Amino acid sequence: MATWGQREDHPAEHLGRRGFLALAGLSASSVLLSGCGGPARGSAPGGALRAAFGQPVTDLDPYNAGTAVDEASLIVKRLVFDTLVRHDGTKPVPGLATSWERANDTTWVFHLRRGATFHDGGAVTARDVVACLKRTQAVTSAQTALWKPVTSVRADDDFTVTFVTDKPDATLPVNLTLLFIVPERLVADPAQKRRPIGSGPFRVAEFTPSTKVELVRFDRYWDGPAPLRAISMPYLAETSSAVTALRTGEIDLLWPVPPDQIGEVRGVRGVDLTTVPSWTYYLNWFNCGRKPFTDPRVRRAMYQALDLKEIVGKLFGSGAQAMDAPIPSTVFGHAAQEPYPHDPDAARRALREAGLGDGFETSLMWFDATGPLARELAQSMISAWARIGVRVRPESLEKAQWLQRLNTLDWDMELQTNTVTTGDAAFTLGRLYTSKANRMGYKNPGLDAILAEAGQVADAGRREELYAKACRIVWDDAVGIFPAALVTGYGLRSGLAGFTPAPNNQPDLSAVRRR
Amino acid sequence: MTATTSPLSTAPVLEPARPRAHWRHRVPARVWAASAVLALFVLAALVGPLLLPYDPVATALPDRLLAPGAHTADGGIAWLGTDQVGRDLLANMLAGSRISLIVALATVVIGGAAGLLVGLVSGYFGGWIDTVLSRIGDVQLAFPSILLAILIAGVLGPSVANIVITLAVTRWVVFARVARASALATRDLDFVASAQVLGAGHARILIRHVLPSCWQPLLVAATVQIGLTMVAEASLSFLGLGIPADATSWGATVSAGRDYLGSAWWISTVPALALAAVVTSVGLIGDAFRDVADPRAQL
Repeated sequence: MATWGQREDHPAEHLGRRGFLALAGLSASSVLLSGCGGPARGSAPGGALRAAFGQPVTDLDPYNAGTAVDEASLIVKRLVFDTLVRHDGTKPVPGLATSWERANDTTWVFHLRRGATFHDGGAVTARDVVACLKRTQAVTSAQTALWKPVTSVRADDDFTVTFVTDKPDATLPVNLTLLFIVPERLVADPAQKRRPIGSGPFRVAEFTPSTKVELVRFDRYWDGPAPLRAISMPYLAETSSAVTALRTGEIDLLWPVPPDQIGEVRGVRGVDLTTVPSWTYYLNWFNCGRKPFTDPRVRRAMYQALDLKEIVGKLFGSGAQAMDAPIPSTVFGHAAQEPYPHDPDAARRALREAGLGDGFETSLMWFDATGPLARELAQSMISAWARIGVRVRPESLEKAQWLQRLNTLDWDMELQTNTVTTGDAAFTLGRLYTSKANRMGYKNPGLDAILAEAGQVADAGRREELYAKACRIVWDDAVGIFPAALVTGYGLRSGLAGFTPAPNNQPDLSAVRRR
Repeated sequence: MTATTSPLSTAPVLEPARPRAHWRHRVPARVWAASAVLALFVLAALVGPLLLPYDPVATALPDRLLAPGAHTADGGIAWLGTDQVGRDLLANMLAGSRISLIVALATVVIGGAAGLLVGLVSGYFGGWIDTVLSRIGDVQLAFPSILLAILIAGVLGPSVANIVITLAVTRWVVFARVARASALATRDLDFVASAQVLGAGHARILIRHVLPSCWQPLLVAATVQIGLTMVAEASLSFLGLGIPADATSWGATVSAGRDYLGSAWWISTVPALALAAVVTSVGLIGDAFRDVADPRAQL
């Protein structure tokens, strides 16, 4: 519904037709049913932080394929599980690992923290880490590409783990911020979906998928107990009811506040509004393997037809920034490019040169919940394309159907939001734009070589240089249109302290306390 | 619509019954008002889009979220305001009324025809045909119709034709029951027996003798169903399972505006009011028609 759907590209989930129909029917009925239930009230233990995020949490198993990089579940996973390495901005800092070093070009050694325990009382050991990595490699998910270079992992003793990669891999520490550690015996346990055991500062007390998550403090956390006794995360499907809940104090924290609703939150007594440029952005990919988008002149013409300054400015206001690269400007590896000027005449000329003087018909697919104003953005672009003679059929799909078509490359153009979860270009450029990944039919051996090298070198300066080259190629070849990087609005009730807005939409709620 | 104080309602009381006023005597003012409202909307659906064309593709971002009566960038006035991509809501409403009315009529015609056929056959022949057909209908009625509609619409995908199919599938039982009851009551009457004695075939009896008795109850059922179908279409479109993204209907507009209830109330409110007005009008007319058509109501 009108909220943020999962904004990630997904692993190929091969749904059969029957399975798909069942899914579509089920999700459709759940739309109706979810409309009937009011916001969860009063079930949180006293003093709990009540935080509502714009997307539902559907699964908490860290190795569930469909939610491997799903934002909503990552927010909860970061509270329930630990990772070897954590983020501090774009910098990796110690988590369960106290230190790490490169033994040689292809070998990383991580030293684990002593005294960390799981929620069930067991100690966190190197064997658990090994089992977790093997499990994540065994599951085909959106994380698969990140772990492919790791050829072996072993526990040298209880607190030392050694990773061996096939080629030099500089991104391993950053990737490890996505490897959630669970006890070895539970890595493939289905109970982890609902009541997972981890070693994080909070444990799951209650979880109803797509409805609410109740977390209570884990008092034996290695970094000391969190200031708050509990965190309650209801999912409020309707934007208007979520905004009302924040205004009346029924919830303490709401994010992201949609651009058009910021006015309803700003200046309200008892509510502080913080905005932060996020690592989430809109992309409109062309299926580069399908005519007429095989021709870069056509793709560039589509870009030139858009007055993105007006579209983004009028639609999102301060809620988004126009982009000048295939990744948001706050991400490592961003290099500003020359924006495509709005020039419908040049676009028409380019189409004529490409032999499409009469324009053509194509389609654009999206699902409404992918991000704020997704439908409006799609309509505005379609309207602009109609002016250069390109008739675009809007296909507003159900999410399951969108996902299936995205993964089977059964589309002409697709609009979605995407988050550079790690804040590093490797996660987006390196993972999505290689010929092997084949996510949008674009194949460029030159780009492949650049991305491969960028994934191997450790030197930040060199990596930046390489990703700048990659940005340029993706931008100049117009693999997609990159309209807007979103600014996340956090609505916070006053009376809370210790909250830091996060650019990847995944703020650390464990540090929040009541004043 | 229920303007009970209008002069029309008092007129028959003041004037003693004259033959010409006889039919008017039995038609209360609220029905006149309802007919006027309905006629207005049908007229708007027919000619409105010609006078004020609505282009679902064209957007005008500088004009987005204008309040009713505000001036647009090109100097026009948005009488009912604009939506979140700057399209005029009045034009949107007129275009939407077309889809809403077409879907309602088509559904009732198709569902009604199917229901009539099934009802006639099962009521006239009785026996195992009746048992099978009636039980199928019972099974379907036991299932919430909107859930069934959501399931079918989710599978078929969004298009106007698919909505009509979906809604017709969920509505035929009502018509079948009405037709069956009439056929059941008629088939044992003397004139049917006479026709049988004269050697008329089943088809002739069904069409010439049984069918005419079904029309009146069917029409009453149809007026009620038109209103319900419009609401059902709006519900489906509200859930995003109705009409495709490049068309508009009242339900779809209500749905698109619900995130703006706090800031731009007119997007949802205007089509919702129109829907309420039409459905109420159709209901009132259906009620009055039943009173007229049913001899027992005159006692």
